Amino acid sequence: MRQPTIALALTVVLTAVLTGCAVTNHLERDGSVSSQARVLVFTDVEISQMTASGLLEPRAEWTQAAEGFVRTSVAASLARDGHAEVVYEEPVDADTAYEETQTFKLHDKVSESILVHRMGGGGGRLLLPTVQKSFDWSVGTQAQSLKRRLGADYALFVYLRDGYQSAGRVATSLIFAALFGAALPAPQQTGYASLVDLETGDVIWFNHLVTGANSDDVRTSAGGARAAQNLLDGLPL
Amino acid sequence: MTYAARPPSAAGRGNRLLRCVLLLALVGSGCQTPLADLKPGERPPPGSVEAGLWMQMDKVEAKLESSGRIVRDRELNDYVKAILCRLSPEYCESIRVYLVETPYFNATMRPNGTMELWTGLMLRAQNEAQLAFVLAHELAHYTRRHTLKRWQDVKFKSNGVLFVQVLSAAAGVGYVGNLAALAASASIFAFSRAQESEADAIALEMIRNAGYDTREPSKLWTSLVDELEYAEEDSGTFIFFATHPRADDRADVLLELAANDEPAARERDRFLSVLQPHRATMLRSELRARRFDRSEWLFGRLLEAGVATGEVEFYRGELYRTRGEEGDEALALQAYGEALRSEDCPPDAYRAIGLIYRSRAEHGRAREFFERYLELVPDAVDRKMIESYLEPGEPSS
Repeated sequence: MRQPTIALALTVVLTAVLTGCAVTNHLERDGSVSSQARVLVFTDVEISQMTASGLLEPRAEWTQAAEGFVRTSVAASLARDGHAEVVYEEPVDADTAYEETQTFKLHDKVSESILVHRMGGGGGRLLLPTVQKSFDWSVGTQAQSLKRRLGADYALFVYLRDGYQSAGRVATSLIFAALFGAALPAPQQTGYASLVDLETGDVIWFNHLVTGANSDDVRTSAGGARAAQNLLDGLPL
Repeated sequence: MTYAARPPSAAGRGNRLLRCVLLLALVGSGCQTPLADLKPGERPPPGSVEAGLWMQMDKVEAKLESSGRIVRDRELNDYVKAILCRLSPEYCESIRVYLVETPYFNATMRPNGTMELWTGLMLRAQNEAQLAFVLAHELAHYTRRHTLKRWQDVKFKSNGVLFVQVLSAAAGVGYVGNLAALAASASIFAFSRAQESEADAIALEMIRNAGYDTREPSKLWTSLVDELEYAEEDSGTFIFFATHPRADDRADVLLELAANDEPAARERDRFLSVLQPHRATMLRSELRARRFDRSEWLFGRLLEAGVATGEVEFYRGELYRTRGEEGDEALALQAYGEALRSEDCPPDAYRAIGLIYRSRAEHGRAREFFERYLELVPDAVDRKMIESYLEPGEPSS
């Protein structure tokens, strides 16, 4: 029974990669969310250039531009639905700063686990024995300190990685295609968004994004906004 | 068959191709413009490759900063920073040094000014001059922009390899591409080794100017070689794929560079006394790596040098107790016994001896040591456990 599922998943992803459309795959925890919520937004964006031989070279300017476009689009989208964005301010107190950083680092790890053990490939082979059917992931109640200090109900984490081919890579790929009939792999847009309830620390919604090589250019405001909207696809707020 | 009569073979074509490639590589490597040193406080221009590397490393640093492994003690951090500023007043404000609690011998430098200094190295350094050399070496990686240069080197060579691979595959001599890949990876490692040697030379000059004894750095490497030899450990990877020159070669070169220098400041006493409050943690951490032979050699050397005798003897006892091979119990008892003779003996030695006697069912003697332990550490975390050994009905009572 498992094989057709893998085949189907592969087909969907491959179709996306080849055609450039976005595949999003989200999971949600049971329960309701508040309207007119106050939402802390965190973005983690890195945009690279792929060198001729396929190395990814991080680019600061591209990253900064893309991150700005994503942030603007996320904020606009929250505002449209009647929510307010809360800006994260670093706490003055070193201990509080340390504790909050630990919460963020834990969230990174929880997200990695969700990606690998829940949303990842392998046709469910990496499912954890205790988290099979329910969507039950949390960063714990220490998240409440963020709620108390900043008056936010939720934290929304947006993670995006993308890359663009250098002229050398494009040329190499063309030569390669002419000689061997297949193009070299191009960088892909990937990312996830995660919504955490700051009262319980639970991850109440998680969205995984895989876009093909022909995705919109996130270094432009339209492309950045498109990526943000794909990432927020199905956000329960 | 004469040479002239030989028909052109695939191998012949391959040779010519290989020669072309080597020539190209030579010409190409000459094309890389030399990079100036980073100026104090200089940040890379926003659109540059270097800015991208810094951006990535800033994220890594943010995670490192909040790591549970960072030693946050003010005095120790200020001490290390002061050495760095003595070495280079102009650059020391560009560098953030993170002391990382880990038993391995290493220090690292990232392009954005993040320096890591590992406690396994601090425990092994014999004086401030040796530690200063390590800091200077890492600083040289920063000022000389070694990460950026290595990245450019990797990028350039891997592009070259790809070019050869495509061409040679098209020419039907794919093995040439593999050879080029091998040659390129060897050359990438050689580039990294050359950077290490350059950083060593700059660092030696830096500590000389700061008034430190330049004959000390080579001792850091010879003792590392001795430690590895004692443990019968291989002193590193096969040189072809090594990022660093061999420790014994480094020691030789450093000694040569210092050949005409007079003895200068080593600052041994100051170094040992600043480390003193942290040494127990470092020794405990050393044992957690479970490289018993290396630790045994290190503890032996510390004892020979008269460093914190009671403390080091206690941890030498812990080493034998933890290793638990035949005869180790006796060695442990002997080391704990030595520890008791020193003023700086940790009270834990009494408990350790008590436990050994208890396991040997020598309950009278065990009781003696347990009671002494509780006397010395009235608020011991394991007080209840030790008291339970002394209760009526217990063999030790």
